[in-house]
Amino acid sequence: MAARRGLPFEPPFMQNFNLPSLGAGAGLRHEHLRHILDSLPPFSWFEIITENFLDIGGISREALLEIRDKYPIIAHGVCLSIGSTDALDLDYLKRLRRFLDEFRIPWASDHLCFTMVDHTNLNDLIPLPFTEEAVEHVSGRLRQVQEILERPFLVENVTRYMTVSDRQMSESEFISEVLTRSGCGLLLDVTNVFLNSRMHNFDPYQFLRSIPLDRVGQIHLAGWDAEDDRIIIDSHDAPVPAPVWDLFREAIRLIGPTSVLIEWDNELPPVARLLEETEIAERVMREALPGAHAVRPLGDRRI
Amino acid sequence: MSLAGTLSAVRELILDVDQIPDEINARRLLYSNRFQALSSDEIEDLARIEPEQVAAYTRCIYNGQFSTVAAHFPATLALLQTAWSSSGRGRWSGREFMRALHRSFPWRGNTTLALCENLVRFISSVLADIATANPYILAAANFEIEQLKLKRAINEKQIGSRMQPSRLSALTVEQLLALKVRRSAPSILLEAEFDLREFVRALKAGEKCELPPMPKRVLLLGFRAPDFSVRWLELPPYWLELARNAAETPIALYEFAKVTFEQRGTEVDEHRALIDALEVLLPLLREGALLTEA
Repeated sequence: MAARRGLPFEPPFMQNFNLPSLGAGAGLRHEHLRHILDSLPPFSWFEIITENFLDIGGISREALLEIRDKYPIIAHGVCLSIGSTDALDLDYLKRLRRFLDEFRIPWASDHLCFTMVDHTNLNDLIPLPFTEEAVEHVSGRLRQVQEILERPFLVENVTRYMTVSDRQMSESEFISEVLTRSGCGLLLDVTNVFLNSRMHNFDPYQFLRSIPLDRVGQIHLAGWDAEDDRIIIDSHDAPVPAPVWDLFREAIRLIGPTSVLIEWDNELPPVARLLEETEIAERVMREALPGAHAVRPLGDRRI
Repeated sequence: MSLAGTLSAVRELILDVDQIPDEINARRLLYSNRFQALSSDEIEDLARIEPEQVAAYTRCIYNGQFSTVAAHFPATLALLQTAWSSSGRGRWSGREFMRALHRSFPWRGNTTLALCENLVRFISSVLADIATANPYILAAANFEIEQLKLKRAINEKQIGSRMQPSRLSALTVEQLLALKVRRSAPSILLEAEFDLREFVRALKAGEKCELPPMPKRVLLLGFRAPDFSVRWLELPPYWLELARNAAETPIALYEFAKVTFEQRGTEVDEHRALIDALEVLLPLLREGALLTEA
């Protein structure tokens, strides 16, 4: 398959996209910076929203410089717009590269979607059509991204309130093809799989088994507050609900120990509550893999 | 047809089409007319998307944009909201406001600042009638966007150092006036029709505060305190040129006192002008808005 698609070699078997498992971490939000620096709570790692720190000074930057010396930091972007047909923003990528180098961030991620087209910012994660053309387009751009960033790069499956097109392939086939042709890893958002399964009537467990799980380098978990019958907004404003924990347990059983992140961006809880949520994630991982070491050291991945 | 055409059509549906028909045949017809470059399969794919699915994105996007500008422009939007209904524009809706902003100034680029600059442009052009009737609104918008720029500006290496109060009080008047100073970096000079500092502060703190009743031309120097919070201090308007130059060139405090006397010599004597100048300069030195040469 790899040769047919033009790859020079068959990708070797990997686990977790050859990335370390950092255990369960949390999103680093501005409101928590002071508390975290003052009390150094026992989080395993933090994920930042890249654009909240990239080329922004003030207290955010100073705090991040302190925090990166105390915790592993991973960068998660929202503005790459990898699926857009506008030209790839090379200036953004060069600034991102400098930022990742400066803060010694070992890997980065963004979303498998588009956020901007015709030079207009939609400021949301809009799903792509699941077509051969989109696979080829996105894969080429992702190869460019990896060349510029020179570190592992993951794309995240997004929540989709609509299907732009699935006449040529399903979502899982689309994701699999992009990962294969681009060489990228997957940031598996388990909540998004669950929400999409509810909104588009598929089996989330079957979905997990149909994507290349050896490419999963990281997992996201989040909760949501309100929902109606047909559309559930992925609002990141509540604890992770029980059915998502169940799906996560199955994902860990299939994937092995992985870096897991609790995303809680709105209606922010106190740091202690966020920490509790990461402890639940650690416990679920232990239950899913009795006897396994949930955390492997970052080792020489730190740049 | 191409991916580009599909993505453009999706963008239009989410951001620009006011009313998507409930009935699929009506959608097929609308999209066939509107997106003529798309293939029949692509039209069919889009027609199969329910209006409420598109509306979920429309709501999230415009609500999200409104939350963003509301976080940075609390005073501007509070004033604008009050003026809205008396301008004959009907009931205020943050989401519809952002949709109107998008129609005139689509958000280009991916920075929050670009969206916020659009807001200021929108108020001064499309909402010119409201802005003219309520001059506080544009004054607040100009103040709040400068505040945002200052808050987010990259941390520059300072040339010069903050004068410690103990060292300051040990200087004779002659030594003090001979001190050469620069503006700290980043810092911003803002000329405004109203001094809205207290109004903005009170609004953020949830306190009641009256707007300044009369226009008053003010010159404000915005800078970052050592804890990175944004601070604003008022300067005499006749210091504008000196303060501008002090961003690049070291200027002796004597020059500020001299300009003060030149401007106010008919009202006060030299001694009084010097005291007046020092009353403004000393807080600027103490708070680190002006840095002395190393």
